[in-house]
Order: sequence, then structure tokens, then C-alpha cells
Amino acid sequence: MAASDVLSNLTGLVALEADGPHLIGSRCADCTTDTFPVQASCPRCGSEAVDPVVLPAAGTIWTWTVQRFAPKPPFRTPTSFTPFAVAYVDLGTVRVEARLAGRSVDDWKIADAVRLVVGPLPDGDPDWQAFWFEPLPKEHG
Amino acid sequence: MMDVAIVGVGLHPFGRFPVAARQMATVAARAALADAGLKWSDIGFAVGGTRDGGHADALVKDLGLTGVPFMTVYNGCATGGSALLSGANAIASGMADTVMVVGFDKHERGAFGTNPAEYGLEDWYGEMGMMVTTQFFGMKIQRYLAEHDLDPRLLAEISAKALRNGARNPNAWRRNAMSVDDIANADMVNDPLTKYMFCSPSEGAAALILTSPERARALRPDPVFLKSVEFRTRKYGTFEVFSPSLASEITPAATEFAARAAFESAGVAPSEIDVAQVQDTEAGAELMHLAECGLCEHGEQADLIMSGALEIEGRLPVNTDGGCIANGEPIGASGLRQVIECTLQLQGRAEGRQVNNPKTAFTQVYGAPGLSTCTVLTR
Repeated sequence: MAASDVLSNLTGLVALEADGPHLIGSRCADCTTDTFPVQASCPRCGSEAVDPVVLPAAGTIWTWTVQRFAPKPPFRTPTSFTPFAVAYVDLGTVRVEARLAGRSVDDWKIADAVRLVVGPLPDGDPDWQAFWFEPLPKEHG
Repeated sequence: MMDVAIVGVGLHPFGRFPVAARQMATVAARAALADAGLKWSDIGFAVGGTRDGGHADALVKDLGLTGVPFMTVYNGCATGGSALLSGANAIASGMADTVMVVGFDKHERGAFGTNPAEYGLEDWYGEMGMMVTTQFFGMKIQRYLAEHDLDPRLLAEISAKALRNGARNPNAWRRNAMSVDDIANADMVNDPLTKYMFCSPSEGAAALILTSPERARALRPDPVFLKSVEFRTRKYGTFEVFSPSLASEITPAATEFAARAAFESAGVAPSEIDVAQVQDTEAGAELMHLAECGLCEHGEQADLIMSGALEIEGRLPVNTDGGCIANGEPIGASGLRQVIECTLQLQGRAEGRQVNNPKTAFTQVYGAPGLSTCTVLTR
């Protein structure tokens, strides 16, 4: 990926690949553990032999909740707060924490299939990029 | 097995008070000395902890400048456990004959920790709205309930028990019982947790006097014996607050290792426990910790709760003083409050909430991110 492909405030967090955005994690060369975001050492074995790894863009919801009150700063508070869903998404080798969008906050379930999206949050600063997961569209054919 | 006795306990009530944290600590410390029939000048070693109450060792100015070695410790919500461990080791090692352990705090309203840098995280984590402790609690118990096929209504049952017990404890902060329905139907904070299922940051102080078992018997007819104190931090793969990612396989929590070690070291089985205090930062924490401590199997909590076993009059009374939910959490004092409650129960002094003739007690305090101290006590 070229540096210009990465939206400035997500540099180092998100890679824009041919099939869309992916989160960038770390993989331990010694014990193969994946983490997100990039870390200087492996939290499992302490090895410093960790390299960036492009994580899968799609996964399933491992657990979730709804944030029903406005978090304190540094939360980028929109003018009016709307509850949002948050989840740990199971990407296979690691579970990442992210917001959910694209469906009513009350309709999420464990095991729902989702994929990564980047952009300005619907009710947020248009110049500030975030990442979240949305329902994975059903495959055709 | 540890050879340490508790000969004095003192508590400043938990709640919100128009006095400084250090004043509350002084009240608790003097009450513990009076309970032991000792003076501050009898103390050969002191250890204390607080997060927002200033420097714990500054208490020497209030209690008297005797030259006593006073060590300050801090381990988040588990600070009381670390203070107790340090004090017990001072007795066990022969460093001192008589030790004071003290914890106190005074927190602002609202949640702890919203500055990502303090937790080694970057700003985006907070900017996107994930730097929220209650959100973590919601996600953790949501997963646990699903994995073990447990009804979310159990969370309201746990809160209702805490508030019922708090109403019977004159030192508790929240002393009004609430119905399970009112708790379950209250405003949702972070699904499946409603606003009455959480403890709040609060204020208070707790102090204990420790000595050797021989000296203890000379001081009072009913000393309580600290059979074990075990402290563990997490291994890779546990589910902790402020984690941008989790391992693909969840491993046993720090509490499981600390509790197992505490039982083994004390030579006591979980089935022998007559009364227990476990960390209930929110109702889900009590639910999970019951199993992590070995007091039941994972998934068995529904039977314990719905049969009434965890009530003061039940087979395994848990959080008899109302726990964190009814007392709030002054984090320096919280772990010591649990040990004091077990001590009072073992001595038959838990006025208004006395368990019938308990002989063996257990405590578990848990702090972020992933540390736990467990104790076993006998009379």
C-alpha cells in the first residue's frame, strides 16, 4: 500500500488493500500470536520479534454491547449523542474491539458476520476518519 | 499455611462525606487499634494504600511520629489485597510483632480512567468511544451469559441481594432494598447491565491490626486467623478492560490461580467456606467470580442464586455487607472491607447481618488490568 492511500489519522492502524480496508496488527515470529494494534513486543511470550500483519477484513461478533451514554473526552462528541453498538469481532487469529454500524443497536447478536469499514462517523467530524464493522452483505450466486 | 492473626478491625463507613480521605483513614486506624486494645506506638510496621487520598504514609503525622516503618502500596482496585499481603509477610518473616494495614480513598463521581495514554493506548481508542469501563463490563458478561446459557435476569437478582444486605449493614452507603423487577427494568447503561447493577466510586477507609497467633490469643479471646493470602496477575488470553484486541482463545483469569493457591496454601477446600466476599464491581463480576474462585462450577450460578444459597441465611452467604454494589468502591479500602466483614462474621459481630456460626471465610479482590488477591480466614 502507498502512504498516500492511508487516511492520515488512521496511519498505522488501517491498510487499504485491493479488496478494501484491513486493520494492521502485529504477528509474533516466535509464537505466531496476533495482536491489534501494532505492538513493540508479544504480550504472550515477550518476544520482540514482531512484524506488522494485515488482518482479515471480515469476521464474526464474539461479544457486543450498546454504549447508551456519551463517553467522556477524548471521545469525539457529536453535537447530539446517539447510542452506538460496540463489539469484539473474531477475525480468526485475534479478536478486535470496534464500533458497529449499519443496523439498529438493538438488533446485534453473537456470531453475526461483519466486515471492516473506514470513513467519517455518520454523526461525527467529516475530516476525522474512524473504523467500524458493518453487517457482511449476503454473497450472491 | 500462613501464621498470622487479625486482632483488630476498624472501618470508616463507606459513602460520601465532607471530610478528607486522610481523616477517614485516621478514624479507621484508631478504631482498629481500640478494637485490638493497642496503641499506635505498639505498631512495628505499617502499610497502606490509596489512589486519590494523597500519600498513605503521610498518616504518620496524624497518628503520631513514632518512627515506625510505613510502606505505601498501590495495585488499583486490588490495593487492599497488596497491603494485606505486605503486612502479613511482615509478621510471617518476623520483621514485626504487630502490624497495621490501612486503605482509604475518596473518588470523584463517575468512572475511572478515560485518558488512553495512562493505559499505554493511543488517542483513537478514546476518540472512537471505547475508553469506557462499563462498556467492557457489558461485553464481558454478555459473552459469559451466552457461553454458559445463563439468564440476564440473574444480574438483577445479584444486585437485589447486594442492596438487601446493604440495608442490613449500618456502614453501607446504599441502604435501600430494591426489587428484582425495578433493577432489571431500570435504564440500560451497557447491555445487559442496567444502572442499578454497578457499584460507584465512593469514599471510606478500613484498617486491620495483625500479629502472631500466640500474641493474638493473649490480646483477645476471639482472634481470626489469616490462613493464606495469594496474589496473581493475569496470564495471556484473559478478558480485561481497555483491550483493543483479545486473544483468539480465552484462558483462566488471575482469580482462578489466586483462589486455587489460597485454598491449597490454607489447606481448606472451597466446599468448606461458610461465608465469602467477592469483587462485585458490577453484578456480572460477582456471577463470574463465584466460579473463578472455585465456589461453584461455571454455569452453576443460576442454581446457587435462585435457591437462595448466597443469602445471609443460605448455605454460602456472599457479599454479606452489601459488597461493592451497596458500599461503593473506595479502591484503597475496598479489599480490606471484605476482610473486615469476614472477620466480624467469624467473630459473631456482624450486627444485623450475622451468618449462623461461620468457621471459615474467603475473600477475593480483583483489579484492572487483571490482578487478584484471595484470602482464606478461620476463627
